[in-house]
Amino acid sequence: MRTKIRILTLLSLFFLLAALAVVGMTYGWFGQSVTFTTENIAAGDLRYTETGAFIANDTIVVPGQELIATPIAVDNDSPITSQLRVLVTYDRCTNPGTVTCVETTYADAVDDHLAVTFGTGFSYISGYWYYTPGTPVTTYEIAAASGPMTIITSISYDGDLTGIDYGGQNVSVSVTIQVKQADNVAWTSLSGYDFATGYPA
Amino acid sequence: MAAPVKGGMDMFKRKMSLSIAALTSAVLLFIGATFAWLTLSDIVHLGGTEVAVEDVEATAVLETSADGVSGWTSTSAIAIANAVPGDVFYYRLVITNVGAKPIDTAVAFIGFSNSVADILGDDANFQAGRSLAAVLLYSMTNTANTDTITDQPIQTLAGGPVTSASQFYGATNLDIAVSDSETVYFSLSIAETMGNDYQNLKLTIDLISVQSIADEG
Repeated sequence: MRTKIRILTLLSLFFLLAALAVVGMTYGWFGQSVTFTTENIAAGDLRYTETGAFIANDTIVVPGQELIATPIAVDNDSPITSQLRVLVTYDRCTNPGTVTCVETTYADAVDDHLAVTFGTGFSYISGYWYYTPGTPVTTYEIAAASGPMTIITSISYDGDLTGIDYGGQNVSVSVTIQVKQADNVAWTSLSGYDFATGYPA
Repeated sequence: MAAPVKGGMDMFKRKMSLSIAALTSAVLLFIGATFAWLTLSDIVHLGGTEVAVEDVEATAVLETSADGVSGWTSTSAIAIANAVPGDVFYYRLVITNVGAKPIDTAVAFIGFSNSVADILGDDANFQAGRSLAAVLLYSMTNTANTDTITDQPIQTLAGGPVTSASQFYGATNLDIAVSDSETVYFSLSIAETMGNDYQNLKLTIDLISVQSIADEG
């Protein structure tokens, strides 16, 4: 009888410890875990589509001739705020003795040989035309999904400033649109429009 | 002829006793494993030895704030959309020990997956194999100890490119007394150097696990 009790006690002890072990393993030995599931972090992106065109390359042009065939514009469908600026460069020819054409950044200066008509809200700041309605700043943010925006409607060589120096010269005009997503990002080119003309070979 | 019958009867009784003991233990096993029994301060008497089994239980509340200082509101999960470089998102976990023992708590971020944030956007960065974990910076302070983590890329904390098996501990050794609370403040920021190479990427963290064990120290 004593042996039987001893066996039963040992067996009970064994199984009880086994049960405790299973419970302990299952719950991290009397530990507890609170969980928060499915955390999502997503970065935004820029979604601009651009339209517009110069007249055909290699077209022979004269001062005052319109170089824009279709106004240059963008449509902003970005889910985040963004910033936009435009760089306009052109070949500026002068004759200090011999005719010299130099690529020049258009700044709407009095001696610029180019005439450019921008859409509303653009201001020239340090080499670029920033979209900054109101007070000119380089950090103006365009609202998310702001929609269509006219960039440039007209470009021509200014007939009042260009003269015979341009005769027979090959010149080019370039428009580069840059956008970026925030202050901490480098500008990246959205698109570039180029026009070059010259006499036929 | 009587002796063998008596011996067989003894054997039968012994087997029956063992069976009953095994059955009882099995029932205890299932009850214990299924219902997490042995909760508040149960004491099991085993031949004069007392084994106290006490409950470990903590609650955790996830909160978010616009500036990390004030205006904390409860949230069920981290949900950040359309983040841009330089953005900082502030969270805190308020962990309360509602059990009967002091606890040692850790916060783990477990399981990661990369995807495109919006299928309407450009997926070039995702196709190029880039992960937001490389530029998503984790910072942490807490009220339980002096540990801090400052602007560490999640990819670095996880020990390499993140996968569903990756994890890292965002806070450890949080000793919390009974009925006391401690707070883990953490932020997720988008590196200012992120550039345009991480646009339209999404990082999903499967779960944030607040793990507590009895603190016997």
